Amino acid sequence: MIDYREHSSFEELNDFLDDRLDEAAARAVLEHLAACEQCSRERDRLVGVLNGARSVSMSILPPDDIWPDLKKQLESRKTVVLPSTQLGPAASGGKAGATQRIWKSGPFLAAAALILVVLSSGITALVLRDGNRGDRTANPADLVAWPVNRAPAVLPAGFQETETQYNRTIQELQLAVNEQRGRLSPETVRIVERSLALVDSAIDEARSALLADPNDQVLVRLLSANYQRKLDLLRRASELGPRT
Amino acid sequence: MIQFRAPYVLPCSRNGMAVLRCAVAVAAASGLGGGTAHAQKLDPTKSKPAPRVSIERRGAITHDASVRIYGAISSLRIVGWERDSLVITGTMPAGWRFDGGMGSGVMGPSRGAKFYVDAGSDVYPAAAELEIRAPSRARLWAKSGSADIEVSGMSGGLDLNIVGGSITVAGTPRELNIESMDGNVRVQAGASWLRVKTATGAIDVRGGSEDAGLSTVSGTIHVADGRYERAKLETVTGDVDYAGEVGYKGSVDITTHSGKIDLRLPPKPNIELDAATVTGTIENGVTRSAPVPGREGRGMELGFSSGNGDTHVVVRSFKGNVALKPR
Repeated sequence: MIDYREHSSFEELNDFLDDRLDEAAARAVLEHLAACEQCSRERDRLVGVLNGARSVSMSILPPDDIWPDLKKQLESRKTVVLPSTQLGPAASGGKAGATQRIWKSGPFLAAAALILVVLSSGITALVLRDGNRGDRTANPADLVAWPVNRAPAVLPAGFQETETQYNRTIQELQLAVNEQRGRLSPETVRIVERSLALVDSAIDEARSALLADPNDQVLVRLLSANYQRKLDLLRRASELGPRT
Repeated sequence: MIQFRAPYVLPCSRNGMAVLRCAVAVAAASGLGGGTAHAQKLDPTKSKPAPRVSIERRGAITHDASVRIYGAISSLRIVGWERDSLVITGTMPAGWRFDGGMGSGVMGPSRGAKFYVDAGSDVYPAAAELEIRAPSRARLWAKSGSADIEVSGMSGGLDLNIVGGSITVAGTPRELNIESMDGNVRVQAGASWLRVKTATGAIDVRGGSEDAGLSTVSGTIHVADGRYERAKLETVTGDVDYAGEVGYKGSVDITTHSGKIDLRLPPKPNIELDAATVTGTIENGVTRSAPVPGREGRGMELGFSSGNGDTHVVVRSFKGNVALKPR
């Protein structure tokens, strides 16, 4: 119930004009407006706004000739005026001007680009190499050229845990094989080591490729298969009897 | 008495060391009058003819008994027969020990037997040469270092494990599990359940299987014929040549890192093929489907369904080339 002695709020007047008040509230506002000149003026102002809004067109189409002008402005913005580094002799002095010319010379820029490429490749190689696999000796010349500037350089989340399990088991089996080594014939040791080197090289290649393209399920499968071959080989080597 | 008959085929492998080893074994064997496969840790300067003693064990055994034999064996011939008895014959250098025995059957013949050959030394010019005759449905387990193992007539289970030498299995065992390092493996008539693993040894399989798993690091895998319900072939650097049939609703899965894959198919194969190589190439000489570049332009992929497509063949390679050839 609205108290007649109090003015109607702005929200109440809007709701009244929008016909959103219930019957009792609307009657109270109406009675207050009849008695209150201030609120009545506010009501008239709001009615004026509503009428003005109703007269506005519901859609606005741009003039037909606006696109050529707009396009012309966009094209003009493509020309970026860089701040000039070529200071005049009077402003920079002769020595500074010579230094600027050296920095901008072709050989210097080429050398800088070369250093940047070498640094970038080195950092990428460090990132791609897993720290706990330092004993592997994949021939870099055999590695396929994969794009190196793609992110992220991590294995798929689902495979990381799998690889951890593989490496844990491989470590345990490797220890068993190392203990066994003295009891095996030299030729058997050579066979095992040669085969392990082949598998490790294959793991390196597939792993590097997967780092560069983590969404490639074919690579996941190939890498898993290589790990499985290594597990098989180590398990069998660890189970060989003495003098074999 | 079963006469020991020594096989005269030497398994000279491809690599130079194996050839040298075989040559040394030939010299040692000729000096011993009938020896065969290469011996282990052989010192040619100390090899000289040594007297050999004969081995003979006989006993009643159930038709499905388990037989285990292991030790310094250079030649092992296993023959399945339709008798409930086990006979082991052969020779070994004098001073060696051939021991073990058959389990005592409480209500009848023995259900198991276990024997071993102990050389007593790390250096020996020639090892034991044995022939085992066992019930064809028996389960037989054999393990040695460098040995030539030949099996025939067995329909039970076989579990064979060697480092070098060779394994040849004729007949159709129910289960066949073979592990070898550089020994070559030949399965001539298949097995219902088949597993072969080598490091460098070649794998040659014929005859088909309901469930086959063949894997090697650098050896080759050759499946010449037979029908395979499920087959999984895996190598790291070894080549794969598959010319078998695929059973109805069956599947063949071939994976290699850098080996070459030849898939030999009939002119109108009933297969659904899914082949992909990461950096290698694919050639299709069987159907009209053309390979397409792989992910991001690397490698190649080929997929098609031919005939009623009731079998599934998956080929995966990292950099090995894949070729579909007419059978």
